[in-house]
Amino acid sequence: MVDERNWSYLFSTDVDGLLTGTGRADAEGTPAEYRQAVDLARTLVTTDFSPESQIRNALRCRLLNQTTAREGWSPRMEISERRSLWRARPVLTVVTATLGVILVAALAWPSAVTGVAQGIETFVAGLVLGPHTSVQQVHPDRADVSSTESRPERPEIGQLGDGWIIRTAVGNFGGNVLPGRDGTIHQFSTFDQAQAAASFRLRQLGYLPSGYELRQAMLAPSGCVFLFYGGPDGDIVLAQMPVGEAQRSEVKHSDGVTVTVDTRVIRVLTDNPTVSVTLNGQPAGWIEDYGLMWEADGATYSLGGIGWTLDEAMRIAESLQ
Amino acid sequence: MDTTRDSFSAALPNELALVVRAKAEPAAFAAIYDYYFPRVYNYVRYRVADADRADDLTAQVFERALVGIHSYQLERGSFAAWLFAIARNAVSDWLRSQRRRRSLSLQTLRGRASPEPKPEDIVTANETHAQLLAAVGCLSDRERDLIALKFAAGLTNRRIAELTGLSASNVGVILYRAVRRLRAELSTGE
Repeated sequence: MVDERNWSYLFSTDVDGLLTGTGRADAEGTPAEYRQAVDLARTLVTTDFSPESQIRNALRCRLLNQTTAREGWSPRMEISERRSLWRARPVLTVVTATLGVILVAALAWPSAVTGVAQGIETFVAGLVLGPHTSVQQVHPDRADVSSTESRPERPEIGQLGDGWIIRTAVGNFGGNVLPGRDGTIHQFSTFDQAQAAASFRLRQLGYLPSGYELRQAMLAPSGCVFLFYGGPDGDIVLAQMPVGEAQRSEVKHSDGVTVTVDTRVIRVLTDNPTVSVTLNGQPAGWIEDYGLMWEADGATYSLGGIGWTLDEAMRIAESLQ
Repeated sequence: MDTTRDSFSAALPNELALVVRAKAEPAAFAAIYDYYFPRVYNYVRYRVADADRADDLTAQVFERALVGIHSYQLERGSFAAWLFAIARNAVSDWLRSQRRRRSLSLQTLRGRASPEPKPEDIVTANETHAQLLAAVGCLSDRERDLIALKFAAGLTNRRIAELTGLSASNVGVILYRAVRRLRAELSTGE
């Protein structure tokens, strides 16, 4: 019995070493039976059945939809986080209110998107478009600023607080700049130039209404790329940004809070009616008076135009290549 | 051997902050879900083997976690220990319900031969996984629980002891015996 306790203690030590990745390569000098047990433990540690799950993504979407549809998300907690983790609320509330649509493009870590919703305790509806993309419709009364701001015919770059903003004909896009990061918005005149500067493979529209062509492109501090197609009925704007796993880095805020950046997510707030649609067999969001949003192949896409019907927007979105 | 940690698997970066935020923010819950899904699923799978049932129970675990995350308190233990306590309860509830059902069905079907799985029904895909799960199925409930808590959940013996009511040294002994039995089962099947 004593002997078994000793072996079991050694075994636990070896298993813990396997779990932490610091264990010895083999149990040299131990009986064959013990070594076989350690070998099997190694197999158990590395065995992963989860790829066999049929519900992983569907459950994720369902849970997130439950959370977004829920009211009264611990507002006190949000207030404390507003101080500690988010310092650009004016940017976002302005954008949210004037646009109806906001790409939270600068937000490269999940927690940061909390800040977007500061003070918004009730969502009218929520759509989860993919593992890293969601749209939340807020009540217009929750907007802090009037939405009567005029929309420029050509995109205008601006700065609000420590964030960036691009005002366009279809609405404004904005986000914050992580501390220590370059806040410059780069401009290009061709798709190839934008592609050379982007950190991911860009896609462009294969179908355009008559009289439209690519006029310019922009690269935002977050890595989000905007393609502006000019034409007779006003700009078509295609925004695209990689989402999901990102290079891990530490961001230290002036208030001493350090955040690990390792995931990019997009969360859109809109006070326009939003409905769930299907684009190329995948979930997408149709935002009235704006256009479509969806996630595909590790990127989030946002396609906006003026006076579009859903059918027109779908036809253009389906041509993405 | 055991440290003051509750689990050995690579830590979820900023886990505590994420858990706090998950009370108010879906994206934070998503990050927790992404990290813990494989561990919870594997834990459940070791306990119940059947893939469809494992899916159902895993869904229950995360749904309960989502509802209960508001009440999670750090002082009562790590988030991993809290989550796997939920998983353990979900599996135990289901196993209890199955035992009741089995008891009822045995009474009803008294006199019939007990059905044995036919060899041709054994799925050949994922053979290694199937063999492993079959061997785990030969262990006792308690041994399966400990195997799952150790190797799928990645918990320390001390935390497993707290969850199961055993002593940490007993956990170590049972685990060692269970793995040797598992090894013997697998050898028999080779």
